[in-house]
Amino acid sequence: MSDQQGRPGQGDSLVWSVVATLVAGPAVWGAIGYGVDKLAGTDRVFLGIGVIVGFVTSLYLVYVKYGRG
Amino acid sequence: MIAAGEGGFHAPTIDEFFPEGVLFEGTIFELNRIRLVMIVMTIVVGGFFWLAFRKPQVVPRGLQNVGEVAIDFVKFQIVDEVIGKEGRRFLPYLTTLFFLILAFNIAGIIPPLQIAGTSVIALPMLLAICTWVLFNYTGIKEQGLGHYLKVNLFPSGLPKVMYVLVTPIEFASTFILRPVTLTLRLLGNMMAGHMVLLLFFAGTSYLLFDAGALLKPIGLLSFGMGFAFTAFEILVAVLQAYIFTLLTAVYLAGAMSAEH
Repeated sequence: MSDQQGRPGQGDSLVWSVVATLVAGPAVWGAIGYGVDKLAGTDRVFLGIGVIVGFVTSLYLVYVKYGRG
Repeated sequence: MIAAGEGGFHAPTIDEFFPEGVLFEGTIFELNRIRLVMIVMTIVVGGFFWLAFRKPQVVPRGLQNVGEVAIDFVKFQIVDEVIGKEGRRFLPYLTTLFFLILAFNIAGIIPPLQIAGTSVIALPMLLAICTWVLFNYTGIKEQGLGHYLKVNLFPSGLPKVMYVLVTPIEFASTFILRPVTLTLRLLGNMMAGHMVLLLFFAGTSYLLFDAGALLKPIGLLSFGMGFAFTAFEILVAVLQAYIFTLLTAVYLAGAMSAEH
């Protein structure tokens, strides 16, 4: 896809940005949740919450950055 | 299961990527087969471009034609497509990146080298770090540190409270995931390719020469598969070089445009 305007987030690069965001969300908030579990002594409660919160946030972020055009 | 005894079948292991030294053993300058591959392929790529553009002519002849086609590929297919004309100043870096990775990858199927220089982590990681430094430097220079961080960590048009959730994700995807995925994608592809080829050819050797008569026809099948995957490895070698370079260009394009 030609992108002469040089604006990122279009064409091929769009796909990579979206994938990165979708992976980063659950990974980051899952990791934070895992840390909270360790500190609080809970068993994978906050890990689960973190992954879900991260995933939902990622979807929202993708919508805001790329979906509203 | 196939027993791994005397003259039996030996499945390839991760030791493949830690070959014994061939020169200067026991010193920090120890050379093994993979390092020799890196040196040989660097000389090949450097030598090719030196020969092609040693005495450049307006009307190119011979090797200069090939060299220009090579550079034009990166210039038109990657730089112009992804960054635009103002991205031409990155052409030297992107060309080097593409052909170096391509050469290191393709070494995996060239006898007697037969291992990719990119199938140990050092090289993909080093190149990913170069790319990471370059796109961050470009972003900070073009947009200023504050604006660069703002664009990358605080996407506009969000309710303030959402930044608590969003900013760590943006940080991870821009500053951590990018170099890590560049490294692992290239490394994983080249490592796996080497293991697959080795498995089929080691299998062929075992089935044809050591196994019982009933298994010998399967050896021919394994041999055929080995050839098919060798052809597939050429595709992977080119594709992975292209993807690494393309993504570097994508990151540079993002760093150059002061988008709000």
